[in-house]
Amino acid sequence: MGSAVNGRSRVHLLEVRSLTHRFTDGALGLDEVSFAVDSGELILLAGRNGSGKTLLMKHLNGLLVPSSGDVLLEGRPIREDLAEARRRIGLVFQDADSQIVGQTVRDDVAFGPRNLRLEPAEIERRTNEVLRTVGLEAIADRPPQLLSGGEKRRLSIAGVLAMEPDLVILDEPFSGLDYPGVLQVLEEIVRLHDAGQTLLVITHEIEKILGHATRLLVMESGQLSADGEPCALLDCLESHGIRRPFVDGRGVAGVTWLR
Amino acid sequence: MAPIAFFHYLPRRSPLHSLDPRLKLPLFILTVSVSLHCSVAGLVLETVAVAAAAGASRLPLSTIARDLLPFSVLLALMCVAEAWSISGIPLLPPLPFTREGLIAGAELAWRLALLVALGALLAGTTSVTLLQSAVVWYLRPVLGLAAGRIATMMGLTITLIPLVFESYRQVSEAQASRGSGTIRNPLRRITLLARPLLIATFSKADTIASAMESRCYTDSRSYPTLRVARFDVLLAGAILLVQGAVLLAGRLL
Repeated sequence: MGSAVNGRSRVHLLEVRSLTHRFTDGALGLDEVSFAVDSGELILLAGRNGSGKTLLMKHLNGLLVPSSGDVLLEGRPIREDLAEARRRIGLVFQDADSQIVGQTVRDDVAFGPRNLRLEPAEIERRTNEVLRTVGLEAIADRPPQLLSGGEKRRLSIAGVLAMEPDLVILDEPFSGLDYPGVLQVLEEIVRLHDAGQTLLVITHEIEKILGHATRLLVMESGQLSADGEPCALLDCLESHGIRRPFVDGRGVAGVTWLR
Repeated sequence: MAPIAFFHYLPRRSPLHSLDPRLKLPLFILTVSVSLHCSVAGLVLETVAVAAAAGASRLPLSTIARDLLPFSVLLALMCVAEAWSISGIPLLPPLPFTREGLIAGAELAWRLALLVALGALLAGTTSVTLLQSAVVWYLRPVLGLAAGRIATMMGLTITLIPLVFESYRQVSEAQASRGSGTIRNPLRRITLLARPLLIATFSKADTIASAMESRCYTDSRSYPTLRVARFDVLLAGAILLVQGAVLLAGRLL
């Protein structure tokens, strides 16, 4: 399984093969989408509204069943062990308010580890570690509804990190956030990537993060229309309905909201 | 805008917060039963006890009272309905409002207001996870009963109740900003409110369900380890004594 490199099969962390999703009314949501994710990558998945980005995300940890095609986790179809796939592929939804189910910050971070039936000591260890990592330790006992937008988004990332996933997928992590909120979330994403976490960020606001991405995927009308290094795809972005970000003397590396 | 505090767990350092949920849950059920069946004298005593407990809970009572304001309309309507339907001495002839009906309605509204206050106290001082732990602890030994599933259903209900309130507030504010206040027909106002409220609530509930599923939520989870402290036993004993006094109040006074 996996793609052939020099005649030998290479196993990817995650591989999407000819994934097709047809809605009950017959409309095509995803059309033969194929790509792979390797460990350590920070991939941006961009595309205009309705292009199928969020639909694709829900297939990546088995929340939806494809009409045809497959999603493989280290060479094994995720449908063979959905619980394992959901532990190893963490989804951070666009609407943080709907993702946060705990009644305190600490309770929400512990939600995933509890579902994994871990020992209480291990749940506490993971919860404390993740709260420290994302900088929410000081407000661990606060009700989530009292957090700022940026803090809520960081909490939803923390809730997924506590399950120690191999791949974290973030759906529109900057939507609805003010400037400080975007910086908080962006710093968190870059810090996680620097620490070796594999990330797939779904966004159409690529000017905020493109400089940190190792790869850019573009979706259009349910199809994967481009896949390559950000600098190689820069000039064709407008033809896919994505505004070309301003590039200064630093090149693509300078396309970020972080200084 | 201030978030809705009613039916949200609010962590505080208080005796009610620290009381073991395995004691708190049966004490809550007992207090509710006593409140429904006690005499008027008992009701006075129970109200004082609940008010004292609310004060000791250190919850933001004025915010919770603001959130509970819509309930007062419901209680007033029930009071009027009772006054209308029970026979007795007419208060406003020829209208069929009676003195006996009004007294019965006021008593019923009082009891229901106490129940709402008790529910708010339980939800405000106990996290869903701890309540679920208590339910599983009690039900797991009962053979043939899916303790985990029952705890899950209870947890989901408590999680979704604030969601309905939040959706109601958002929808009603959105409609008020578009002049819904000028619509005099209450039936039309309810109809206009119900459709977007249902859509918003189901849509949010669907997203929450997906998010929970993606985080491996099942009815088989690990729960926190519970410990009964000596203070818990003393507090439970005091609550039992108060409930005994409430039951006896009607006979003694």
